[in-house]
Amino acid sequence: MESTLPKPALVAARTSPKAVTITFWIATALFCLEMGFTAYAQLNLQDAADGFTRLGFPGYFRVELAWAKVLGLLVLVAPVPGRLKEWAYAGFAINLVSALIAHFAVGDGPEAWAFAAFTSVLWVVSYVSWRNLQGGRA
Amino acid sequence: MKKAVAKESASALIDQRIQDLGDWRGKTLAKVRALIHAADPEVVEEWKWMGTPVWSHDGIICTGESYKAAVKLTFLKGAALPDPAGLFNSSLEGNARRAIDIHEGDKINETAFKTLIRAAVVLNLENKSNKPKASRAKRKPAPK
Repeated sequence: MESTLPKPALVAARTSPKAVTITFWIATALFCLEMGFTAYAQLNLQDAADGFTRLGFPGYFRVELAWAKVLGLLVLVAPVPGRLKEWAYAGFAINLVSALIAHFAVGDGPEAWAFAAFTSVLWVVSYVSWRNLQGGRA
Repeated sequence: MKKAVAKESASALIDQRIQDLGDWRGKTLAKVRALIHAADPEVVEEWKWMGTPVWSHDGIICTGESYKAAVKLTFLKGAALPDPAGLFNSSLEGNARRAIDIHEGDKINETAFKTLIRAAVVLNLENKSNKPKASRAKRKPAPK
């Protein structure tokens, strides 16, 4: 069964580099704002800390994850080697998938996991456009 | 985004949840809600994390999630609570939380449950005097 959908990278290859750059920065800025906010929230807001407890995570993991998010978003926007950015993208991917699994595991409805789902979409757009700006080398 | 909803609307949202569930789960949630209020008349109802009923008194007492096969009451600090009647039957491996899963047809030990609720309130009040903050950044120096 051959997929009729062109690969995202191929679609992006036909769009102008400027459009890709704009797409990348909008998606990445929104993504970093969300990650920055959640990092702040889980370090400083009791509600967010209680949420982590409810999902079954220990306190030290909440702190570790928050600082990992801060490091990751700095790497995404800073002019650092591509390999480092790959690591940050990988970390965020694991983070987002784990967040969704955690919500499903405690039986949360869509209103609770929509935030993580939307952030995942931003992750995909940011990553695909970044790879495209890199010249799409695998 | 993660803000708790105002009291009145939280209670209305919990009413709505009980109504939406409709079946034995709605009845169970209404039942434990009544028991919680009986155990602690000063309890505050909240609605957190976009869709979870929460009962609080100077901190969270327990949450009330509904699954397909169970109504789950999660006590965030349950591991620190005495449970002589063995009400906790879920999340027993948690380092802080403990939960009670109530399945269809389960009988609730009402006296033990109310005692547990009161113990959770006492624990919250004890913690209030030296309230653990989510972060050290905001910790005020202890009054001399």
